[in-house]
Amino acid sequence: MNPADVAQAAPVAHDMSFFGLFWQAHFIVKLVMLGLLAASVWCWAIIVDKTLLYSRTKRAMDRFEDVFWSGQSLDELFRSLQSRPATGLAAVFVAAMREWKRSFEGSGRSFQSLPQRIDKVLDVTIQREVERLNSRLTVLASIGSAGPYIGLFGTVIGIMNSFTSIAASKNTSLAVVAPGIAEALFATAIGLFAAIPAVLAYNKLQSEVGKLQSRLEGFADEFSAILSRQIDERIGHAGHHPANAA
Amino acid sequence: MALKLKFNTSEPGFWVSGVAHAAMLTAAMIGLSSVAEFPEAQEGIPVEIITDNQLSQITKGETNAKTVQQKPRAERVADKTEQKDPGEDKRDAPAPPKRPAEMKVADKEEPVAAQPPPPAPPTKSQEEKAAEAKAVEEKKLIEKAEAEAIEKAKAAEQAKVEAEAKAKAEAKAKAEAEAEAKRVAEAKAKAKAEAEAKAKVEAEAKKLAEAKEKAEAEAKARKEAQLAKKLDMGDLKQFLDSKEKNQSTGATGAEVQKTASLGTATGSAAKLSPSLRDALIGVLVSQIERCYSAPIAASGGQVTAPVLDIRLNQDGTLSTEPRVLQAGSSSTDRAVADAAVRAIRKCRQFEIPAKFAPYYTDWKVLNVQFDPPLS
Repeated sequence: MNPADVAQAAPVAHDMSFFGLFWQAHFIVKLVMLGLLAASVWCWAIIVDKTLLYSRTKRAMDRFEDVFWSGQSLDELFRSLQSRPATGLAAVFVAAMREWKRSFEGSGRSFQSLPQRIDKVLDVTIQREVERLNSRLTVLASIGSAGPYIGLFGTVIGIMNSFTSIAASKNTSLAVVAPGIAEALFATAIGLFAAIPAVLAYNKLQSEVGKLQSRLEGFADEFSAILSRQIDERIGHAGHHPANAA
Repeated sequence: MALKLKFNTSEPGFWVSGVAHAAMLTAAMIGLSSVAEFPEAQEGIPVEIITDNQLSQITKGETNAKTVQQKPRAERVADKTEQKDPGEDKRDAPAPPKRPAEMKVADKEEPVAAQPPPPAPPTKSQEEKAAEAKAVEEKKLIEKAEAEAIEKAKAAEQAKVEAEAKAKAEAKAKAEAEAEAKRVAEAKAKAKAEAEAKAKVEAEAKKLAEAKEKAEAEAKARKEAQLAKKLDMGDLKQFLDSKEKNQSTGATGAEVQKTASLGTATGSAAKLSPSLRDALIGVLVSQIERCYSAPIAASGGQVTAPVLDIRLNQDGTLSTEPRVLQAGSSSTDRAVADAAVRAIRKCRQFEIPAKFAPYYTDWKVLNVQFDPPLS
């Protein structure tokens, strides 16, 4: 091909809009761009979901604590919560109460290791709750850390591609080189576009999970203290029904 | 993947995110579809670095010439070997004479001043008018008479030629012609007298009119002069335009060189090559040596050669007193330097070979290292 022809044709052929940049890119670069765009969509989906979830959880915790410390009978509270799947503090409460109830339902009353069992149940429940809150946050972390690299990969491929085409056209004028490099850099731009919100959101959401977790643990400790006091009282004057406690 | 593609109010993230991305991409495609172009880049100016020495050696020539010639351009050999720059000769034409203030109006008012005379005649008296008319009539008559006379004279001549035989006729014609001539002369005299009288009358009238006009004009002129004193743009413009057009004067030089040499118009050097310069210094030193008598102190041992500043005129005479630029520290060295200066003064005029003449600007000032001859 005549270099002069290439030089003449090159400026005409290049459309510098977003779509144009995408459409002229190499196949692999296109895949990278699409993947990063999908990652960005996914990452924002997670951010929205998690933000809503945490605010909902927080509100639920506030409400539950209000009810719990209002002096209402624990049995009553348990009965009202038992029927539907509970989350957050309610789940912790329900799990502990269930274990408590079970200990008193059977003929053989087993008080000996009840506090340990309740602690175990509380731990497991807290873990499950935190797991639920934490789920999919790793996706954000992955996108945040890998996004730029994926974009860079696309860029490198794109630049390699444009250099090979420079070699093929035997023309190094900037007008020939620039469009290919612009396309290639577009991949990095998308990578950063996906990664930056992911990193920021990951840090924010992580700290919120931490706060919620400590709140759950605090409640579990308090509740476990209340229950063990009850158990000790029961052991003191055996025969009383625990339902009248609190 | 835990994403549910059905819309769920508790987890609307996917849809919110998807819609937001779609909206943003659309906005980007619409908003960023056109690329702003860079402004037209200006080409860089190549810069070369030259040394002081090179700068001082910049060849005298013309910037639009093709190559550097051996000699600067000279269209003819000057009678006096004077090097003239090629190109334009700028001369100031003398400024046009400035009118005195009271005359300021004269030119400008010309159309106005010229008008009064026609109205002037009506001021003449009836008598004058009549005289004038008469004079005109008489003039006409005289003209007529003259014409007749000429005709008649012609006829007479013809007759003379024709009728040599007819003496009678001839005599008659002669008499007639004489009579006619007499009459003509009389008429002429009369007309002259009449014209003189008329002229006198006219002149008197004119004088009166002129006196009046002059008074008016003077008054006007005074007014104009007052105005003109302030600012007269026309006058300024005329003054500024008074420069004559530049004319090409042929460049002159020691030798004719028709082709322009590449260089700058302000350059001072017709290029004196290093070897030529050394040759010239050699010539000078040999001449100085002839005039030099070594001081007794310098007869033995090493002597530091002094560097002398010699400034020459074109004919080889000294333009200023020679100076010692550099000399050794010992008394012997100083003695040698002084002796060298004395030698230069003694030589008074150096013989500069003619081939160096074109390069005068280059050897006007010379720093010569004078190695005293061992003797």
